[in-house]
This record gives sequence, structure tokens and C-alpha cells, in this order.
Amino acid sequence: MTGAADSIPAVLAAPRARQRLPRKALVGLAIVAVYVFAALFADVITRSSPLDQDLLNRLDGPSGSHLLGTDALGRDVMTRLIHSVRVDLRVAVLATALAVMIGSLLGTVAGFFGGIVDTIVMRLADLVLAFPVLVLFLAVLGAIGPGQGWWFLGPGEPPVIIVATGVGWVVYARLVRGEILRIRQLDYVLAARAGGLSERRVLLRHVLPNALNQTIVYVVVDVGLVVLALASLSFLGLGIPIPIPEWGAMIADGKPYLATHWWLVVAPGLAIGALGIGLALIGDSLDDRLKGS
Amino acid sequence: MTSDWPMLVVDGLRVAIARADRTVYPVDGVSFSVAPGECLGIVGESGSGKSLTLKALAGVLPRVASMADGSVRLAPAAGDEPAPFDPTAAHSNGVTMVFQEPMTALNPTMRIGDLVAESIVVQRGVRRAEARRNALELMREVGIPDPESRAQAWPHELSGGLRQRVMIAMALGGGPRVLLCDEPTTALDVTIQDQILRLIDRLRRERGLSVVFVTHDLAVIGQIAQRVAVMYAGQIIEEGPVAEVLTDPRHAYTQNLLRSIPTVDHASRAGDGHLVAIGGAPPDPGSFGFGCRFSPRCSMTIDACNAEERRLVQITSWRTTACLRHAEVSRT
Repeated sequence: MTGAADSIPAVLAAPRARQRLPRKALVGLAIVAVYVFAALFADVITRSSPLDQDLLNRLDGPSGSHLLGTDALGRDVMTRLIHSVRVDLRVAVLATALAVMIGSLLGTVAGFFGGIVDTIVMRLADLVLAFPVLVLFLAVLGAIGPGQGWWFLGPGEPPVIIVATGVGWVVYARLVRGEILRIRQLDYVLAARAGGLSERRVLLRHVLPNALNQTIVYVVVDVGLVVLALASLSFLGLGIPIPIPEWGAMIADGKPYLATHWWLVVAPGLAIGALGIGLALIGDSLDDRLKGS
Repeated sequence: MTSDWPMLVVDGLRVAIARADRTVYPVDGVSFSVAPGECLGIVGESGSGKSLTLKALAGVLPRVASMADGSVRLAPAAGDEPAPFDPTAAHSNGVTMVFQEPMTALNPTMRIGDLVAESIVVQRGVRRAEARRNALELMREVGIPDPESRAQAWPHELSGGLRQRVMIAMALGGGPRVLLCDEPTTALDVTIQDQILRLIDRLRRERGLSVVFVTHDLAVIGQIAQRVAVMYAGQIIEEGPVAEVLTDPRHAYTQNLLRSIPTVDHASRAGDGHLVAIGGAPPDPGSFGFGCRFSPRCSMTIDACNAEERRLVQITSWRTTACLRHAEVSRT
């Protein structure tokens, strides 16, 4: 086989004459960069622990010492917000990555080999789609519990990742399978086969890089969707256990004070929304780029 | 130029497609041969089976289709006796194909130089560095200006004409003896089309390539081919030297086809100077009738046309036709 650079999808590979990035890509990248920075340097850029309580300064408004005020237990909201990024991005990126890998692999196998393999994979996908996600999550949570974390994962993260991956792979399997069925009968694949390339080489260098292009667009958006799912579960008290900072849990914490201390809910809500917008902007510009080429 | 033995001999080729209820044969007994350094044009409407015929020879039939019958033989070298040949290994036997759509026939995720070099690596088994040098030579041979910088380009950065040249370069990678062209100029505008036709013609002469050129465009056939075979409903119904077939057709279908071409000089077509469309549509492979398959659309049909299966018959030493009334067919 040749170097990895040859099989990188076109969207990732540098064009010959680099065009300037469109504004929405720049905005999206800037937003996501802020989050990544916050996740990497959370300990450096915040002064206190997200768990430190200051019961004498409960429910303070935004001020110089507490940029976003304090919550009902006197914890600094900004600090908790920043530490949440770690939990949310870790879960979302990991769950999406696993879903992409498993889904693409199964989709590739189904699309390329067809027949009984195709039938099994696709019926499995139907089964997963037909199953209520929340019920599935409760079942997993009931079976293994939130746990005390595992390896680099914090408490409550493994069951979310398991379910998000277990459900998320279906989209990628369908996407990749469809693309492979479409691409395998395009002229350049016929040309490659007519040119004497082995089936393996045709699949790896001519079919797969093109089939995965569409997937990349979806992956970016999917990270935002998993963040939303994790926040929803935590809001319900099922995802990340308290007192670990997590946006959904923070919204739940702030809900009783919505009328008087709205920033307790709005700040984590905006944090989720802005991340979603940033990812969507990146995904959208990738999509434009793909369609343009 | 030509030797005694043909380069490529196709005999009774049938391509089967399994449908839900039964098997149909969109290519139904096609036979032809091509001499070394000769270009045979195959002309026909959409669905006549011309493209499937080529794909069968290149071993790239779609999944649903398979070669059901017939034999293909290929000369090991120009002038040698043709030997049986397996289309699924067409490339290693010196048969390559150029496709119709330059937009979809190049992998968008590979650089031009890699695409051309890959065909050389696979077909000649040379090392990668040498393949890259050979790729530049090939790109120069097919008239790609500044091949060094074009090799770094992605397919979408090239014009349609350049892409078609790249495809031809890829097809030449293994030093083929037979070049199969599936409407390689249909998607191009006329000036580029003319350049590509000249290129293929030059390669044929310089390399002694046998070319099978499939198109629906009779004008293109007139420019590139020495001989032409007219296909209809999965069969070749007339064959002969291009100049003769295009000016003096000996099959009612060919005659109708020629009358339906718009030209500046309309008077040279049908008697009243108007374009004549061929009524009806070509039959579906599932409903090929007995006898002459063109007879339902033909104004000259008589009962005898459908009394038996029509076969190609020799009318002169270099022309064949399947038309029963070939003697009465004329250009008037």
C-alpha cells in the first residue's frame, strides 16, 4: 500500500492552490477552538475548583470575582461551565468516534459484499432504530450503573458512551452503505477495475475515500447532537451524577431560580447552543466544499 | 498496417441480465473482429447494447449482468494468431477502456499523477518512482501541457478535455493492444471533441492500437473509424467500411438513422429535405421479437422479414447486412 496521504478524503487534503476559508468556516472554527482551549486548560484558566462551595456568597450576580455569578451552593458558575466542556466534549467526541468507526465498518462490509451480510447488518440497524433510546439507556444504566468512571472516563460517562455508540452507528452504516452502492458503479471504479486493480485496492483507494466524504460532514454535526443528548440526560438526573459539572445538570440546578437568577440557566444553555452552532458551521462549510469539488 | 490475423475476435457474444421473472439478453449474439491498427466504430441508439458489449470485453459488466455465451480471442502480439482471452483479466492481456463521462471517470480523491501512475504500477509491475516518470511521459504523449504541475492537480481542477486526456493516459498505462472507447467524446463540446478524436487517431497510428469506438454519433464514426458496425436491439445488423455504409446503407435501420441526422444541407437527407424521425422506440431487451427486430418500426416490412431469425449475410466481399430487403434500401 501507499502512504496514508493518498487515501485521505479530498476535504481533508490540502488543495493545490489553497482557497481562503469562507467566513462561516472561520467563525465555526473559532467557536470550537474556544471550547477546545477551555477543555485543555480548564485548570489553568479557572481560579478555584468547580466543586468549591461558598455558602456565604450563594446566588451572587455576575461580578468581577465571579464573572457569571454563583449558584445556589455558592459555586462559581464560570468555573463550572469551563470544567463542563471537558466532560461534554470527551463523551461526545468519543461516542461519535466509536459510532463512526463501527458504523462505517459495518456499512462498508454490507455495501461491498451485499447478500446475507447486507441483510443482517441492515436489519440490525432497523432494530436499533425501532428501539426507544431512552428505554435502552435506562436498561444500560440499570445494568451497569453510573459507575465511578473507567480509565480516563469520569463517573456516569461509560453508560452514555455505550448507548450513544450503540445507537449512533446506525446512521453511519446506512450512509456509508448507500454511498458505496452508489460509488461502486461509477465510471472511475469501473475504470479502476478494468485497469486491473485488486478488489481490495479498489475498495480502499477508490470506493472508501469517496464514501467517507459525506460521513465527515455528518460527524461534525453529530458531536453537537451527542452533547445535546448528554445534557438532556444529565438534566433528567440520569447522565453525569452530581456534583460533577455538566451543562445539563447545571440547567437543572438553576431551574428553580429561573425567575430571579436567569443566568444560571441561560449560561449553560448558551454554552450548548454556541458549541452546536460552531460545529454546524464547520459541517456546513465542509458540505459546501464537497459539493463544490 | 493490417496483417492477416485480426487483433481481436468476438464471436457470438451474449450478455445476460437476470430479471425477476426471466433472463434477458441485451447483447444477443454479437460478432466482429478488429485488425491491428484499425478502428472499428460501433453505432447504435441508447439501449442497443453497444456499451454493454464494450463492458463485457473489458470485464466490467455491472453486477446484474454476466457474459452468457460467446468467445473472445485476442492476438498475443500484432500479427499473431488470436488466442482465447478472459475479459475479467482484460487489463493484463492488453485490453483497456476509456469511459464516457470525464466528470465521473476520475476518482475525485486522487491526484492526477497518482491516477496515471497507479495504472502503470498495476499493469506493468514497475516501481513507484519509475511509474511516476512514466506517467509524466504518458501525460505528455496525450497532449497534457505542463504535466509536472498537472500531476499535482485534483481531477476537479481540470477541464473536461484535459480529464479525458488523463483517462486516455491511464488507459495507455499498461501498453495496451486494444483500446475500448465508450463514447469518450459525447460529454465534450465540439472543438474539444475534435481534439480528442485526433488524439485517439494519432495514438492508433503511432502505437498500432486496435480501437473499438462506441458512439451514437454517426459524424464521429465518420471521422475516427475505418469500419462501422451498426447495432440494434442487441445485435449487429450491418457492417462495412465507413465511407460505404454512411453513403450507401444496406439496412433499413441504417438508412433511417442517416435520415434523422440534422445537417446544414438538409436537401441531402430525405427527399423533401426534412429531418425524418424514426417512429416508435427501440424494443426493451425483454420483448425482442422473432425475425427482424427493427420490423415494427420499419416502413419496408413484409411478412418474410419476420419469417425467420435474421442473420448477417455477405453482400459484397467486405460488407454484411441482416436486412432482407437490402437491395431496395437506398438513400432517396
